[in-house]
Amino acid sequence: MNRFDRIILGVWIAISILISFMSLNLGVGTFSTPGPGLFPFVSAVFLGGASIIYFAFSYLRRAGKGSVSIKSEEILWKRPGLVVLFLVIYSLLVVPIGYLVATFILLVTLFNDSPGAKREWKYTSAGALATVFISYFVFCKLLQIPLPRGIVSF
Amino acid sequence: MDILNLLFQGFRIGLEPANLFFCFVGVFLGTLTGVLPGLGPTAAVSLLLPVTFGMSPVAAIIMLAGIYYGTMYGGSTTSILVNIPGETASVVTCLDGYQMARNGRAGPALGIAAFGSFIAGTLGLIGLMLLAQPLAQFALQFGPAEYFCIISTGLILLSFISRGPMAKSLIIASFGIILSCIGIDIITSKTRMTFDLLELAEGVGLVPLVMGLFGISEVLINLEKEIKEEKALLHLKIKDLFPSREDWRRSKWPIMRGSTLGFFLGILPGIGTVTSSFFSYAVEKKVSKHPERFGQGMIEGVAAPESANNAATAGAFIPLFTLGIPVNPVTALLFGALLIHGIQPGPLLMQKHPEMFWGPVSSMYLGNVMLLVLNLPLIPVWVQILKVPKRVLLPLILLFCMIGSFSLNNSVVEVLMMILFGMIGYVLRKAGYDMAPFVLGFVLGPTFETNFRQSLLISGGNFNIFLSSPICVASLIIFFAVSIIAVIPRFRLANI
Repeated sequence: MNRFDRIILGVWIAISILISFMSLNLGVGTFSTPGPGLFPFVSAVFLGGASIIYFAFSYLRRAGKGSVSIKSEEILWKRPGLVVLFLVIYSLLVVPIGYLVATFILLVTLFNDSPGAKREWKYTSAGALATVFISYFVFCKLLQIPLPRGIVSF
Repeated sequence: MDILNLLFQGFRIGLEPANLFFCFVGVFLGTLTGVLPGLGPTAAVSLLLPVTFGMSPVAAIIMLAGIYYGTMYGGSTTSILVNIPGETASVVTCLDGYQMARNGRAGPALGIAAFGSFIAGTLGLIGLMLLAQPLAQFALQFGPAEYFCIISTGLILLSFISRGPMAKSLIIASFGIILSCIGIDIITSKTRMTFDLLELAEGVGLVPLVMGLFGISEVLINLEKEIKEEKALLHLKIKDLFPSREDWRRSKWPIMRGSTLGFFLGILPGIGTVTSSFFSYAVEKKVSKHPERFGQGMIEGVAAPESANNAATAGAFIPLFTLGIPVNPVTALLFGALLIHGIQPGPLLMQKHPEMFWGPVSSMYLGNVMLLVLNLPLIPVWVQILKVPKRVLLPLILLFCMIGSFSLNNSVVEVLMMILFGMIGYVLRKAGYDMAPFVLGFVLGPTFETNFRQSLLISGGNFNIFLSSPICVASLIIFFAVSIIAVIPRFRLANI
């Protein structure tokens, strides 16, 4: 078990404790008259219990075998992290500035930041523009999905 | 005779122009999804779920089901031609399919994959029709205790079979169940774990959750990788799509065995299309007189798994339509789609809404024919789609996810929630967690809780209610047997 796995198990145990307290506050009731907190409480105890048992087994296995047995893939945060940031910014901007402008900016950024991107702004901008108008036509006009109008709309 | 009458009624629904159109759209998009590596049926169904809100419930299920079984057809094309499985159920097809292509037999490999899929899909549908009605009648006798025991057993089986350690699957399933508790409690009307956020009062939405876990996280994982796509066979001229008499002679029993195995394995929770295709491949290797030739281009190694994964899709509909219990993430989404359209899946579905069963079933027959036509003559077209670079494809998937989640309630909150689940899915997948138990825990959570509480209320808090019927006892025996089987090897490993 590596550090990443241990951190995640720690998060599960923390969530389990938090939900257990919240469930107790809601009221677990009795077995004959179960309250709204009973089921989340049982689930949270199960979550915490399973996390602790998994940690214990992994620890014992490592002690028995003398090696780290579970490998998690390395997280390469940079590009996925940037894309998540772009998506969050897009979701916050899409209503005030509108679908057309916000999506154009998002697509140009994504087309240039994806793996294997050639960063040819002229082509990526043209591609983004075409995608924006086609998607607007399909979703807004054909499928009648109301997309945010913002500063530019037709 | 009754079944034939009902099927005839189903065909009247399935042949309505709108339903026929949505069936075509579904199988077309399913084939496209199957061809494109990195986009599975779960992501595709979740992307298109919001689009179905404006349709009739029958049309919505026809289209979403079409995507599901259509994916199984499309997945084999890339496995055979470029050794890249379009989706996970076609991974095993690469072993012999790609070797056949290298030996100049791409045509028969593609042909037997399509014909095998068609035969298995049709046989699976016959099985679905024959088994669904008696099972639904039988399920009418189930009370809350039986449902609680069946769901418990289903979740433990799913966790046992899922990718990665069982403990991780149980952890993630519990987390899914906890998330399903967020919102207003249906028995006491008390809000639970909403952190005073109005948006959470109705609970966490299924669509943002699944789009995040399967759509966004898939893209994020792909963004890490550098592009290494082998396109060596893309320029190959594909000929002899119709298998020869000898190919048929060698493939007929693998197709029959794959169809039977796939259908029955598809009914079980968590097994689905992937395990059934691997299992049927293993069976063919076992029964073959020349097991050493598997992996070198044996047509049996293509026919059996491709038949199994198609039959498994039909089998997976049985628990959904008869018990209201989804067995994999795609049927969980179909379960959600039915609920969104105000239809409760379960034993009463075939009585109250026969059109919701017979309409989609008849459309699946039609869809299988459409898929045969789409997959054989149009193979060169599907191969061209592989040329769409990931730098174009990945941003488009992200855009569809954003539009889809926004269109649910015209709210940015749903979009942000989807991004959050995308991040959670990304981190958990990197840590080796399987997302299927998460989604099933989330979808089954409310039914699980309601049946648990109702059982306790009926019995006055006496847990003997969970041992009160043969179904409960049988389910619990399976539950404990699976738990023991899962734990014993770990004790041995830990030298305890």
